[in-house]
Amino acid sequence: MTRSVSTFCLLVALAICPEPGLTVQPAAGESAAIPVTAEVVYPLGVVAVDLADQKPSVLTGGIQQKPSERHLELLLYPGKVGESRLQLGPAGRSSTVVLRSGVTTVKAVIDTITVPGDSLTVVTIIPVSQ
Amino acid sequence: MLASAPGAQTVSTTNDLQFGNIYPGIPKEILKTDVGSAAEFYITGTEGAEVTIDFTLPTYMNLGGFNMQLIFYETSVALDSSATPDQTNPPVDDLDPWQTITYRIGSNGLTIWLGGKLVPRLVQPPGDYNADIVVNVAYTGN
Repeated sequence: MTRSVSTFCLLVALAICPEPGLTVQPAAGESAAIPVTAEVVYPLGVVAVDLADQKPSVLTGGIQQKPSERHLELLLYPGKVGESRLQLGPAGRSSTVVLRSGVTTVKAVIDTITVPGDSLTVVTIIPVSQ
Repeated sequence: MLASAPGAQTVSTTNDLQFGNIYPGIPKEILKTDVGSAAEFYITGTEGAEVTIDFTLPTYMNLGGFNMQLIFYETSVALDSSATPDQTNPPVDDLDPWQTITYRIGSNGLTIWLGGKLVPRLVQPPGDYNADIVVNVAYTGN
């Protein structure tokens, strides 16, 4: 008898003051699509650089190309961004990348590649227009 | 008893899962804590209501007739129902996207993050690869 009265009181209480969590009815699900994107690129060249503690965020830069050659000169050193050289790392470094015929614009991508037991920071040169 | 109608739940994508540039033969992983790269989506609905979250996960990305293997681990999901979701240090971590996830919507909704790993082949054809993750959210009634 006591249990019946308690149960009745509980039902009345819930009917008067329903809790939000108890009153939500199952509803048809809502769906959404999340795109996954990636671009596979074949680099023209890869230059390993010592970035020390710096974390450059600039991924593109102008290129100084010698007029008589299809050579690309990258000067890697700390400093400004968006000039005619790629500028990275605490110490001056340079490297030469040979462009394929017809390539006029390139993009540099800074990335960290993890290999077993190590991680390597690289600058990858990718043809943009050709 | 079930007198009040629930606020409809909604799910919207805040950030795509973006792998960026991939080099042939070099796997790349996006962690669920990688801000701006990991998939992020947001669920709204009745505060305190329990929802189930189900993923339909692709196993490949595609470019025309080419594909590239995509891996999701059993710990690739994290979520946060707090008012200030923190992707870098999520309070609920290492959930399995291959199983139904059950959680309650917070006062500020529910934010969920998902990472993954791409495994390109050594001779993976170049170009833009795409796939879709489908997420379904439904009230449980609890």
